[in-house]
Amino acid sequence: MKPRGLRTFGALFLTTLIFLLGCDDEDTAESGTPSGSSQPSQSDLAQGMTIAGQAGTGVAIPESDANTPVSGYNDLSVLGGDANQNQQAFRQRYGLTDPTQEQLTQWQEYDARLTAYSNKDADWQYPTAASANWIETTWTNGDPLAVEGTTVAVDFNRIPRGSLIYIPALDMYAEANDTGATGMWAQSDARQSDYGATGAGRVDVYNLAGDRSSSQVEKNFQNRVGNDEYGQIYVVYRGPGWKKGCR
Amino acid sequence: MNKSLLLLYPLLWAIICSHAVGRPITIPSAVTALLQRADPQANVEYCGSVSTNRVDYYLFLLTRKELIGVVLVQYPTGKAPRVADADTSLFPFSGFLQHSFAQPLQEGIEELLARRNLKKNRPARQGTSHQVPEISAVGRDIDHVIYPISGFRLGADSTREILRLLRTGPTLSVDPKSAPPGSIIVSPTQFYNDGPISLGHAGILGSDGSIYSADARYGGARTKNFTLSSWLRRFSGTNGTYAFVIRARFSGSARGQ
Repeated sequence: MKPRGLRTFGALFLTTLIFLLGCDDEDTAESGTPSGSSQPSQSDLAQGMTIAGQAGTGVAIPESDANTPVSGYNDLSVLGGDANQNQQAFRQRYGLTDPTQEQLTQWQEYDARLTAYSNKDADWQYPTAASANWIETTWTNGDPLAVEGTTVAVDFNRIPRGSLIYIPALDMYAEANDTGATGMWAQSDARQSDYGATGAGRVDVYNLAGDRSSSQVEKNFQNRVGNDEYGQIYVVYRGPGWKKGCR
Repeated sequence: MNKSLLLLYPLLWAIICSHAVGRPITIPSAVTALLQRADPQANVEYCGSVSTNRVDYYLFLLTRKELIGVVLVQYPTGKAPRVADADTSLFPFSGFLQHSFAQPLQEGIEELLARRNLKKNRPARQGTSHQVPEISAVGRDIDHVIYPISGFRLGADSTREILRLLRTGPTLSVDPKSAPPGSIIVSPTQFYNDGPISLGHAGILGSDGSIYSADARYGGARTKNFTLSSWLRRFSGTNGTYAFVIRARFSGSARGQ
């Protein structure tokens, strides 16, 4: 007959052993994540990196003809010419990155009439009506014309010249330097929602037409941003002050 | 007597439905108006209808940029039409469609989708088991990547089902804003019976903050089509966004089968 204390000790020992075995299995054998933790373990993260790498391989590269630029993530080729490179250079020069949710909530959001204009438009003039605005602007190469990938024309009565804007539908930053016919359109658009209290009015995005006609440019642009003209823009900074210290 | 009625009822309904599936019915203006109201920016494709003696069902595909989904509109006699179900896939059937009394309707939906795929030269995949005719490849494209690596697969193209599977599978829920590379991002479809419909989506987070997912513009091929920030902007307000890390497997055997 065993002493009572020894039996109690034995029971306690067995319970502890079972508990420890359970913990060991959970902690080390499976994934290294402590029991009850909601943090991924190193092996989870390593597997994630493999998945992420694999996701990027064999990705479809959609075919396109020369007149129908392919749209997609961060792809501004619909604007023609060197739009992608220009946007990239613009971002690098001014330290602009994809906005976070927090940034978006801090910036002023406006309804806008997103439209396209190009060098094939019948009312395109050289030099542009706004060419004077390009003096001392982001592009100092002496070219007074608009630049695909960074140029938008706005109504200066609503968005001050030199403002930095962000267009979510294109994932594009631009400096509001051109104006063209936006002022003229303001009268006909006056009753539209984008000319209301929270409206920025017409925001014309410059396209380099290349081989495309003016109407093809407009069609490509509409397909890129959606089937209608209504959209949103964020005014990141009103006026040209955001460039101070960057040049 | 009661037993025989129970046996006869589904049979009768099946006969009624099978005669009506795909019948060229003019779409009532109330149904068209409902769809237009539910998603004004989507392209709508009519797939056909399934009719019973009291209720007509209209099946549509909605396409909106990268997204594609199926919408079932229910139009009872003498009442207003309503969205009965909507998602990137209606399979597996849920809600009222999962009940046994809806079996003929389920078969009608499958037949309409199969006809549509055949018309678009997209025959259902051949297999030993019954394959449902899918429209979206949102889950299939994810499985193609994750299954060989993790041994886990979704086996569903419905965003609501994908979310359910991720919640109950070998995964860890993480904050979408800080999700690590390789996470599965899902925003389930949301709809109200009178609209709106907000189609959902699912994809894999790449190592550079980009997201890879099935893209309806390119026949459902996996495409680098979002950034994490553009995804959150697109879906967080309307659908909600969830992210999951798949737990690393610790042996060679596949899980999630």
